[in-house]
Amino acid sequence: MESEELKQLVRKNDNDSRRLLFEAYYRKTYAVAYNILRSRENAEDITQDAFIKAFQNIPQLQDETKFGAWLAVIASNLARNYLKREKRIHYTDREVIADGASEADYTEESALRSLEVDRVRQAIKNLPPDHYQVVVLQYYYDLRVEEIASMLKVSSGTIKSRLHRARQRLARELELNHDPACHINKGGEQE
Amino acid sequence: MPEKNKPEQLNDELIRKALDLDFQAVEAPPAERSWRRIEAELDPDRSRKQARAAGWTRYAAVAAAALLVIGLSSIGIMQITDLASPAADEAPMINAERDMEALHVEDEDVAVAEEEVEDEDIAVAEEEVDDVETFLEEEVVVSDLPPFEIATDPAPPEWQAVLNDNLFFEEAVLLNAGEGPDYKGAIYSGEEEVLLWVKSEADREATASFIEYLGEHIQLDTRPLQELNGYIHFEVAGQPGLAWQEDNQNQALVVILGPVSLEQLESITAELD
Repeated sequence: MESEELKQLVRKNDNDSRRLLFEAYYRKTYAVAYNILRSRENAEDITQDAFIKAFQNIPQLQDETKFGAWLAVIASNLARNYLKREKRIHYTDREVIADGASEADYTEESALRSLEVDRVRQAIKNLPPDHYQVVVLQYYYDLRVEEIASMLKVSSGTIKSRLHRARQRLARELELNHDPACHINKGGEQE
Repeated sequence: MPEKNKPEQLNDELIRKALDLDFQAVEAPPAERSWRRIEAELDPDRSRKQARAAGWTRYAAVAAAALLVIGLSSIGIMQITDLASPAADEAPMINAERDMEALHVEDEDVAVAEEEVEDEDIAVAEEEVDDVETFLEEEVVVSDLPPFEIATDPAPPEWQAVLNDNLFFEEAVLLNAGEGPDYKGAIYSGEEEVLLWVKSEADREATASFIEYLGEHIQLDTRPLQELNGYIHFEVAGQPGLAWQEDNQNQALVVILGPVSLEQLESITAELD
């Protein structure tokens, strides 16, 4: 969705606009909730609650073009709170990742790349909720550290720390031989 | 040297690709269901209109078939029991749960019902409406009573937007049997059931006659009504249905396509004016 169209829809916030916003962000928001909760039913409920809260509080959104990220923050906060209430932590420190290499065709670069992406995908899923949240906001929604801090109402230092620990965790999960070469996104400090 | 399927470097591009793939691959529940709940929460009035536009086609075939059955079937309840009798009115409700067992749909039936509302089946079901009408006209001996005429109600009463949190108002209708007053009706649709709620602004006697009329026009469970605690069981287009009366016979409700639990029924009837 183009930025200008997104701005118009968010500002309008009538039923038709909400419907278009819902259609544009439903899957992504559900994915965020599901990856934290690991329950289809709970993720569906949290996703609905996130949209309701977002539409009800839309005047609080300062930058309309960040609607998707804002929604992801609401959904992930709701999901994290739900887990806290339920005192259930879904992730494990060192979940074993299925190794599909034995069946893979190593001669194909694309297949190799696909396996790489899949391993990273699995590793991201195993992140604790607060780490997963900042990784999604930075790498999927392209938010700067300061923007994430503002949305989550924590300091930039906290975000940098979470991102650093998230990457360390990913690297460990992937058993990399050297430090991850990730960079803090625009406006942030390079590791 | 790193393993062949292991990324050599965890770079931004790899993380973005992984997240993008993950968001694309997620199997989200039906968006329409979520949207209807969101809309109902944010704007209940508009949700009624939206539900009519978006959800009605899903149930159109079954609802149409149900109304046709009401209009065309000639198997008479009056041969079995008298719905308007005091005995029906005073049927004890304490055994309702036991008697409602007949209504409960087995798991395999639920699966079939769910399969039957898959998108691809909706189009087929819609096409089959005409076939159902033809079948009923051919196979059922039309009673002496004229069938109901059903039309959109131009001046509907204030129907509730949502019943029991899961039945959404679809359409206000007028039902007329050719003689006597019009009966006001509302059609509600839920995930797996359709509810027809009928009431009359006429006097009690006229409303009671509708109940009789309804009873004469639907295919019935052959057990005595007292045994069924006032619930009429029937079948429409292969789907289970249930009819009953409320408010001292002044209102009638028809639910088609299970499963409908006793708790749902009780909470629905508790909302009646």
